[in-house]
Amino acid sequence: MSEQRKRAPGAELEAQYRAHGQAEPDAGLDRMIRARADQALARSRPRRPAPWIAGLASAGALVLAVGLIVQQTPPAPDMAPTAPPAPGVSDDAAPALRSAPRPARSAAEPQAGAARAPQAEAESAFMAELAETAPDAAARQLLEIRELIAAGELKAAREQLETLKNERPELEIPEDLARALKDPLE
Amino acid sequence: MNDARSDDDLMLAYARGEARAFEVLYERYRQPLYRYLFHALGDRASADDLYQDVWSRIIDARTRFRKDRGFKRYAFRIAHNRLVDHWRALERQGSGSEFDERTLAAPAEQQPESSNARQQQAHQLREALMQLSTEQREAFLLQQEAGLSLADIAARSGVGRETVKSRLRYAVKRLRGLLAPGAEAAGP
Repeated sequence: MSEQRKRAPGAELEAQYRAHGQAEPDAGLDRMIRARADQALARSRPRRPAPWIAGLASAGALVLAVGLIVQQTPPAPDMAPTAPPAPGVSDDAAPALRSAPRPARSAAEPQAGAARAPQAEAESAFMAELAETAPDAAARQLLEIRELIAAGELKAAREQLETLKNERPELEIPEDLARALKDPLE
Repeated sequence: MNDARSDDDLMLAYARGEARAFEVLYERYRQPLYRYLFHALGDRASADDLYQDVWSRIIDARTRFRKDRGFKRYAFRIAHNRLVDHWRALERQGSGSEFDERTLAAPAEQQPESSNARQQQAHQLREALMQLSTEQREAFLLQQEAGLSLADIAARSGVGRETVKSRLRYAVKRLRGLLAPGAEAAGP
C-alpha cells in the first residue's frame, strides 16, 4: 500500500468532507488578523526622523546658544537689575548672584523629583512588565528547566520542557538541554 | 492574489517587512486553518479565539521562522498545540468538550443561496465529526486540512504511526457509518 493510498481515508468521504466541511473566518476576524500583521511590521520598522527635524534642531540649538550668551553677560554698570536684590545682599553682589545658580530653585528640584519618584517607579514597573516579551519569558523558562536539571529533578524538567515546546513550537530548544532531558526509554 | 512564491518564501519576505507577502500567505491558509480548528472544536466562538491566537503566534514569531521548517507544518503544529492546550484547560475546569449543537455556527446556513439539503448535509458532517473521539478527529482533520502523512501526524500527536493509522481507520469507518444515506446520527 503506497503512502498516498494510506493518506486517502476514502475518496467518497473526502469528497463529502470537501463539499460540506466548508467553514471560514468571518470578515471581522480577517480584518483583525491582517491589521495585527501590519501593526507588527510597523512596530519593527526603524523610525526615520522627519526631514524638518534637522532644521528645527539647528534653530533650537541656535536659540539656546544665544540665550546662554545673553544670560552670562554681566549687565553694564549703568543698567540696574530690574528685580530688587535679596535682602542683605549688596548691589555689588547682584551680577555675581545673577550668574550663580539660584538656591531657591535648586532646593525645589529634589522635592519635585521626589514627588515624581513613585509615579516613575510605577511607570517603569509597568514598562518592565510589558517588556517581558515572549522571548524573555521563554528564556526564563529555559533557565528554570536548567535549574531543575541541576537539582536532579529530571522528570519535572522534562514535563516543563514539554509544556514549553507545546506553548512555543517556534522556539529553538538548546541542544545541550534536549540531550540532557532525552528520555532513556525513547 | 497570484504569487508564485512558496509559503516559506512568503513567510520570510513578511519577516523582512513585506506586508503583501503576509496577505498572500494569509489568503492561502485562512480556510484550511480555520476549518481545522472549527471542525476539531465544533464551536465557532472557540474556533475564532484559537484561530486568532494561532495567527498572532505566527506573526510574533516571524523573524524566528526558518525556511527548512515548512510553513504548512509549522502553522498546523501551532494550531494543534493550541487545540491540545484548549482541551487540557477544559479538562482542568472539569467541563467536557462535548458536542453542543447550539454552539455550532452554521456558515452554510448564513448563505441564502444554500439549499436546505446542502445545509442538512453540512450539519450532519459536523455532527458526525464531533462524535469521533478527540484523537480520531484530530488525526482525520490533520490529514484532510494539513495533508500531513501518518508519520507527521504521529510525530505531532506523540504516538506511534500504527496508532495514528488505527485512529484514522476507525474515524473513517465511523464517519462512513454516520454519513451513509439514511443513517441517523446517534448521540455522543
